Amino acid sequence: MNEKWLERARTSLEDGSRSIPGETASRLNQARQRALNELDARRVAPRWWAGAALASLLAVGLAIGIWLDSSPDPAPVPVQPAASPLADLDVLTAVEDLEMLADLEFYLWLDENWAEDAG
Amino acid sequence: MEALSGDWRTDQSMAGADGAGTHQRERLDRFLQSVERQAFRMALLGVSDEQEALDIVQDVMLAFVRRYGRKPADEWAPLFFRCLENRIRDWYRRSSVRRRWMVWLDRPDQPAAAERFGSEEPRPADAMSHDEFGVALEEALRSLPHRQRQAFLYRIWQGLSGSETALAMGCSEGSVKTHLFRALAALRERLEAFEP
Repeated sequence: MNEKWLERARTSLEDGSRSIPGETASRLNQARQRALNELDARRVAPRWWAGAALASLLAVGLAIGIWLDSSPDPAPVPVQPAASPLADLDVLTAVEDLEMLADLEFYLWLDENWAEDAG
Repeated sequence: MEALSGDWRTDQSMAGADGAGTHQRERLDRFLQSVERQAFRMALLGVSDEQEALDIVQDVMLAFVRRYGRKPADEWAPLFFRCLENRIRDWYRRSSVRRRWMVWLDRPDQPAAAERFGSEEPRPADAMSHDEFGVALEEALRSLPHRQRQAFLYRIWQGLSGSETALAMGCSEGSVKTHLFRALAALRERLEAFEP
């Protein structure tokens, strides 16, 4: 089986593939176009998915924003009015209060003894 | 690679220029055009049913474009025939299972492809053959075990190298040589009358 024989076999097989019926050739052509359309579809798909992913991301961000915006505020903490320096002025200038502080030891003794007497 | 003589890989320099653009589609189109009829003939030699062979080639083209359409054009031929090989083997497996079920159900199915090889029924492939040698060659190829036939078709007809054939057949180069050697020996015996 020499090279000449092999060449004859190649030629015969090649001739056979060229002489397939027209209908079969047409169906092969259709199959090829379907396969190539698949290539186009796969090329478009990444763009579509990228758009969908971006839209999903925006939708999630928007939903989180709305949720945070509509959630109830925490209970308001009562705000103490700022102590005015003038409010302490009365205490500092009151002479009787200073006298009561001087007799503080007496009032503590009175409180203890009154409690024992009452008990 | 004489059989694959299309111009689908003559413009390699533009392969990466526009990626998978129109240019890629055109090159794939040319490549598939250059192999689709040969793939059909190979499938027909294996399954002996024109409709089945058409379905196989259609599946192969789809699978090839999906999996390997973006591979370098130099690799397309062995990868395409790898898809063909897988699909034909898949057909054999399904046919085998279907036949076993038919036997179990006691409803003899159509004879298996391998059983039809020796029949005298006219087959589409016979109608395509236009000379005595061609008819004898196809008969002889049908009679070969699948892997011997594929080794002959890939190496001798398609002109794939040993490594490309090994890739297509999913085996080692050593196995390819063994299958090809046995195929040539069997063909020599069967086609002795046509030896020069």
